[in-house]
Amino acid sequence: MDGTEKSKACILVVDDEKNIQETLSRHFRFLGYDVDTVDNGSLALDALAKKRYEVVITDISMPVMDGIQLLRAIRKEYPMVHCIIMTGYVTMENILSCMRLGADTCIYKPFEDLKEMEEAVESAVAYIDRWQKKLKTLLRMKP
Amino acid sequence: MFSQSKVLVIDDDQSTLDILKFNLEKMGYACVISDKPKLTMDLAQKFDPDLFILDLIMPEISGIQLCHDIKANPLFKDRPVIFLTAAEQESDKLQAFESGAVDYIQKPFKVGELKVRIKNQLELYRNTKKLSELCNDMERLAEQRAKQLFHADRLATIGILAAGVAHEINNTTAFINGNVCTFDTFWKTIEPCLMANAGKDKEQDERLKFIINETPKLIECMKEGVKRISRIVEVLRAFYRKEEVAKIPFNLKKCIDMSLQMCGKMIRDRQITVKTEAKDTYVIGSAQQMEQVIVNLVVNGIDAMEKSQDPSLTVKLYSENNQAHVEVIDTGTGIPDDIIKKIWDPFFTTKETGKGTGLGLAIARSIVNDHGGEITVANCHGGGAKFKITLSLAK
Repeated sequence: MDGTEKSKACILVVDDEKNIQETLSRHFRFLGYDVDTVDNGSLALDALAKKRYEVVITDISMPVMDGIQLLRAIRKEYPMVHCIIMTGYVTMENILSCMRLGADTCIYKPFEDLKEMEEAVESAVAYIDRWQKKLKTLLRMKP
Repeated sequence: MFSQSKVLVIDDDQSTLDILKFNLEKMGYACVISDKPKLTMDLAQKFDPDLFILDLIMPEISGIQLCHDIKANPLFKDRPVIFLTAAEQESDKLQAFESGAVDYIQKPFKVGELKVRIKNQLELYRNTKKLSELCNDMERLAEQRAKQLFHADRLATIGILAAGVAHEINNTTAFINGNVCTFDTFWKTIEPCLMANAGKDKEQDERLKFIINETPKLIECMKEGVKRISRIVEVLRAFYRKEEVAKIPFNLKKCIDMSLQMCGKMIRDRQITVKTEAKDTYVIGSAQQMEQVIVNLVVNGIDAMEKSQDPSLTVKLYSENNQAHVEVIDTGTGIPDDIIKKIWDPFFTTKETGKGTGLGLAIARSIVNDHGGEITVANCHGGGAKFKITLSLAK
């Protein structure tokens, strides 16, 4: 693979609400991303084990495993994966947890528009791209 | 101490009247007598008697008729009536009781018996009156308490409801809004292609033009709807975001200054004269929440003066009886009597659709109550409304 080819960034959308999954999936697929969706944190970890994702967009309150637990697990096992949290139930406790666990941002539902989400995804992808470029440059360097 | 009891005696026989007056006054009662039954109600109005003594048989109007008149008058319907009667017929006595009398005295009467009967009836009347007053007080208290409880209960219910509703509505609105945004993005691709297909059918072209014109407006309209829903949910948050009320002493004067500063643009734009009378006054709680309350009152006041010639807003802060009082007074239209009770209800608003959520005052009251205080409203003489917050002073 050569450094100039731009691969599609992969996004994993985690929400127990099917309509939100579809909405975000449709939007980001149209913008050229590869998007998968799952219903809760536990299924998200299964998906992460099988495929590489650049960005995880997750809701907080979900059955089985909530977004905060998922965020904690991702920090531990996949430190390069970027997390964007979204929530319709904003509490100080949740926001502080997101911040401490290194989420990129926390977007409040209902979304003002999807711009905030787009920008968060773009900057996460740009961050990963930057490091990948550095790695590739390093590989081409002769010792 | 009892005030002197008053007795009104009506009899066509002057000597009976004289004997009664003499004896009643000796017993310490105030007494008015008359031999003109027609004047009974006029005398009653003037004298306000605690007890009536009526002769049963009189030439102009019978005692029974008089007793009916007395019982029909809301002012006197509870006052005891005693008949004086020479009649010995059982039916006469029954008729007398049926008309509402409490007792009768047989003529010719014995003074001793007369005294006891009158004394008993007056005592009974006094005790009944006291009892009914007490009963009224209790009822009033109970009603007041019930109202407070009802309100508190309703606010608590709304808090619980709000949390659930906010979550559900936020989720639903999120995907409506998300899809509107995506459609907006799609539209940018669709639009140029639409006219590229034009030119085959005139009618079809007209329709396409219409769609091209209207679609952006349609998208905006949907976005606006979502924005309104979001705002209501945002305000509802104040109900469930009951993070413990801070217990820090703060200066209410600063609160007022900050609130007026926040409304500064509105005050300048609408050319409102603002008068403040405030001294440093400390209370305990959350300065931020109290600011929210005062801003709310100020904004409401300003809105109420939209059509006023000379809009002026007065904010007073003073302490009295160990309590701090904040008054926000406008010179607007005042609050109509039929809605003054409803203004604290959640979702009650008089503002144009889309302008007010109807939650401002409900939240204001909830905040003030959380601070152990009270918020009340009254209309001012000469127009305008006065909102008053009362809080305990910091010790």
